[in-house]
Order: sequence, then structure tokens, then C-alpha cells
Amino acid sequence: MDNHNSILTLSQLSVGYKNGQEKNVLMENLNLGIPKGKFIALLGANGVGKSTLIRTIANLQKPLAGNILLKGKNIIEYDRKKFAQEVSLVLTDRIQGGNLNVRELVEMGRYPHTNWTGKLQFNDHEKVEEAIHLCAINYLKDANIFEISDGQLQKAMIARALAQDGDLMLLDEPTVHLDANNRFAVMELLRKLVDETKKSLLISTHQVEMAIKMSDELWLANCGENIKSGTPQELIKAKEIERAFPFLQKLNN
Amino acid sequence: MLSISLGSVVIPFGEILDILLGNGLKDSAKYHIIYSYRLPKALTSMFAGAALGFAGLQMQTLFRNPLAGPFVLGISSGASLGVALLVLLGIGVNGALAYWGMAIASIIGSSAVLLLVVLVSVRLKDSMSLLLVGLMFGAFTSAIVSIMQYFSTAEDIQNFLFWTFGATGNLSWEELQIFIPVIIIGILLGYWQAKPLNALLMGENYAQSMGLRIQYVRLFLVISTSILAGIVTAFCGPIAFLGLAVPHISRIIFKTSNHFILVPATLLLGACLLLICDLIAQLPGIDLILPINAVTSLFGAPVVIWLILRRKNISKHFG
Repeated sequence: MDNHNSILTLSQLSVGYKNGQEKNVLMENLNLGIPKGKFIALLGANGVGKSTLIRTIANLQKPLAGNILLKGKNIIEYDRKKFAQEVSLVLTDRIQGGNLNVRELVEMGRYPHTNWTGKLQFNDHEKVEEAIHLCAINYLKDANIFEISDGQLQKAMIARALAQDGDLMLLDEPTVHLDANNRFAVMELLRKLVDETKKSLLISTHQVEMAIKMSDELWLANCGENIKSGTPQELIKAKEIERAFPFLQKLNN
Repeated sequence: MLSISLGSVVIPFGEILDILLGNGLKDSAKYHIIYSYRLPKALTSMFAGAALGFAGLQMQTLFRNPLAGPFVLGISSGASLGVALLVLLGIGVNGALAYWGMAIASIIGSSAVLLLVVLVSVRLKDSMSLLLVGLMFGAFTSAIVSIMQYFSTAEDIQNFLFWTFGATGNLSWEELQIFIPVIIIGILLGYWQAKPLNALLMGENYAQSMGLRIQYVRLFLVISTSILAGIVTAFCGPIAFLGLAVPHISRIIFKTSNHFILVPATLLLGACLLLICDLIAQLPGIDLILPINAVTSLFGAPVVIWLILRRKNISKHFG
């Protein structure tokens, strides 16, 4: 991977959990990069450590070994606020925060850009409106977040991450609670965002077909192996996808 | 105003204004009642109510739990333990030092429990278990207090028991000079965290991903809450329910989760509610004064139940 074009680089990275002295390593020796303006799908079955990797890159947990460089600087040296101005996140965590409407939720994305009073300036309002517009949720602006459907909520969460306006967006299983139509709508939206905003996107997913169709590059995670990276076409040619997801062939036969 | 006016001696509004503005007779009995009794009491209730309401709001948002509050999480019990150690072990200090002693003892007690709760909350991500842990801490400290009572003299126990009934009427002007500034400091510390509190509505992971330094914010909230809950408990005794109920009432009235609105709302509502409770406690026509703690529970519990029944789904609205 060419490091010069990468906004984020993983070098010799190991992720997992530490339990006292015991280390539970989920992924080891990762050397990967996220190029600017690309849509990357981290593809793998449940339990291979996709969410752990996303959480580690998001600076929510420490790597067991190795480094993560964001624009050439190690992420643990970043001030939280500065880091949040570069990287935004969508998790699978259920949010249960009170009487928020969709606009207020999206406005939360401006958090690292405002001062202690949290007051939005003209520029902030512009970014919020832009994010709402791009995600096509204008009609939801005043709806309370617990009145809207899961698909709508996911779009609102994406708009919030978009309003945070970093160059990199991380999304952990963005389609996980959604039905087939909404899964497609959300992935299509993410593709559009990458094309129109030139932000880089890393999502984790186990939706093989969707990942192949929408992403620029796959990171294929198989239990007990190193991640294989490449364009979907490369990985299909090398039969890697077949090997990782044997059921696909059975379905297609 | 009403609370200054009413009591076992009813003083009309007009006269109060006169007296407060300095037009009244300086040495009349009513002047005396107002200046050395009713006014300090009203001020105490206002500030104590505001402090407890705000402390409850901070706890509920920090722990993302609609049941959190200084009382439920054992913070008040911690403060009780501090005071009990002071009163029951007879480490009596006199004069102005005694007020400071009480205040500091109860703040230390409440922050100790709250710190333990926060330490546990770092390990447990589950807010339900956290609540149980808080309750256990409360039970634990109460048990220690009971043991100490068992070995104390009758007089010390009586002092302590009166303290646990809660009272807003025992504060002198000297004590208020400590009480009010400390509460203002606690409120300012907490209000400074209004923006992080808003981010915490989305949970700690999201809050961190938006640039919030969680350890730092937690620490500030803990300090602010223990100052507020600790000082009120020290001077007025453990006052139940207010800290739990006020944030909910504020959210329902103002229909928002924005802490820049909720903070002033809880301060105002807390102040009003405790004034009203205080008024009920000293209802005109009755010569005796009810313990304030009994009043807040008697009227607070039904209010909370009614609110929950009306809302049905309070956990969606808390935040």
C-alpha cells in the first residue's frame, strides 16, 4: 500500500483485548492504508474482530501492538478534539438520549468545532444543513429520534458523522439492524458520499455482495489469517472471497 | 415570598416588603422573625433545592439512567457517614469550625462513595448493575452508621437523628455564608460541563468520538455532584426525592434534552419545589414543623409515580 496517498496507515498493528496479563489477540501484524477518497469495506464473519479494529482505529481502545498513523501522526498523540475533527464514527450502539430531534442529533456532529457553550456559528449551520441534504433526510429534521425507523435513524447518524466533517468516517456494521431495502439504501448513500465529498470511508460488514458491489477496496478478514486487501475484482479472481465465504457458491449453484 | 409570609405567625406580604426594604420597625417581632428565621430558611430551601435538582440531572446523564440521583446512588448515604463519624464519634468542634467540619466531612463522605461508584462504572458498562452497586454502597454505609449509633451516647444519637429528618430552618446567616458560595461553585463547575453533558446523551463511545475527554468530564461531574449533594446533606440532612424527580419534571415541562436549557430549568424547579415542600412543612395553623424529608417523600413519590404512569415510557425521554 502506497503510504503517500493514505490518510490513515496501520503499521504492525495488533488489536484485541487485554484481560489482566492475558492478551486476547484478534488480529495481528496489520499493515494497511486507507487512501483518500476511497470506500473500503472490512469484510468478515462475526467474531473475527471487525468491530475491535474499528474501535481501535477510532481511538476508543488501545492497540495491543503497533501504530496507527493519521496523516502521518500517531493517533495516540492526537488531542481528542483534534482527532474528532479528522475522524467521525458511526457505531451499532443504541442511542437512547432523550428528547432529541434529528436536527439536534446532526448538530451534535459539530461538537469538536464549537467552543464550550456549544453554540453553532453560521459555518456550523451550513455544514449541518449540507449533511442533512446529502443524506436526504430533510423531511425528518423535526422528528424525534425515537419516533423514526431504524433505517431513518441510521441515515441521521450518518448525517451526524458527516457534519463532524473529518476526512475519514468509520462505520461499524452500518447495515446491521436494517431490512434489505434499507441496507441497500444506506450502502448507496455511503457510496454517494464518498463520490461527492471525497471523504474516505471504512465500514465493517458481513454483507458480501453489497461490499463487493459498493466498495473500492476490500479488507478481507478470515479467522486466524492476515487481512487480505485488494479491489473486489482482484480478490474474486484470486478466489479469496470464495474461500472466505464458501456458502456463496452453494447459494449460487 | 409565600414561604416568608406563612408560618405559625402569618405576616402579610406588604409588611414583608416593608421590612425587607428597611421601612419597617427595626425591632418589631416580625422583623425578627423574618430576618433571623424566615429569610434564611427560604434562601436555604432555594439553594438546596437547586443544588439537589442539578446534582440529580448530572447523575442521570452521566450514568444514562433515569433512576440515578444523589439519594439512590448512595451519595447521600456517604455524606451521612461523614457526618455520623463527626457527630457520633464526638469529634465535636465548636463555632464556625463546626460548620466547616460538617460540610467537609459530608463532602468527603459523598465524594468517597461517588468515586467508588465511578470506579465501578468504568469496569461495568451496564448501568443497571451500577445502580445496584450504588444501592449496595448506600446499604453498606447505613450499616456502619447503625453500628456507630449502637455504641454512641443517647445525646449524640438524638443530634444525628434530627439531622437525618432534614431541616432547612436551622441555618444561621453565618452558615449561609458558607452554604451559598459553595453551592454556587458546585453549580458553576457543573454548568461548565453542559456541552459534554449533551454529548453524553449519545453514550460514552459517541461522546469520545466527538472529542470529549471522558475521564476529565467524569471527574468534573463527580466533583460538582459531590459538592452539591454533600453540602446540602451536611447542612439540611439527607433530603430525598428532589434530586431524582426534578430532572424528570424539567424534561417533561421543557420537552428537551439540551442541558443548556435543562440546567437552568432544574435549578429553578428544584428551588421552587423545595420552597413549596418547605411551605407545606410549616403550614399555617399548625404550630409544629414537619421534617422536610417526610414532606419531600410524601409529595415527591406520588408525583414521580404519576409522571411515569402518564409518560409510560420514561426511559426514552430521560437523557
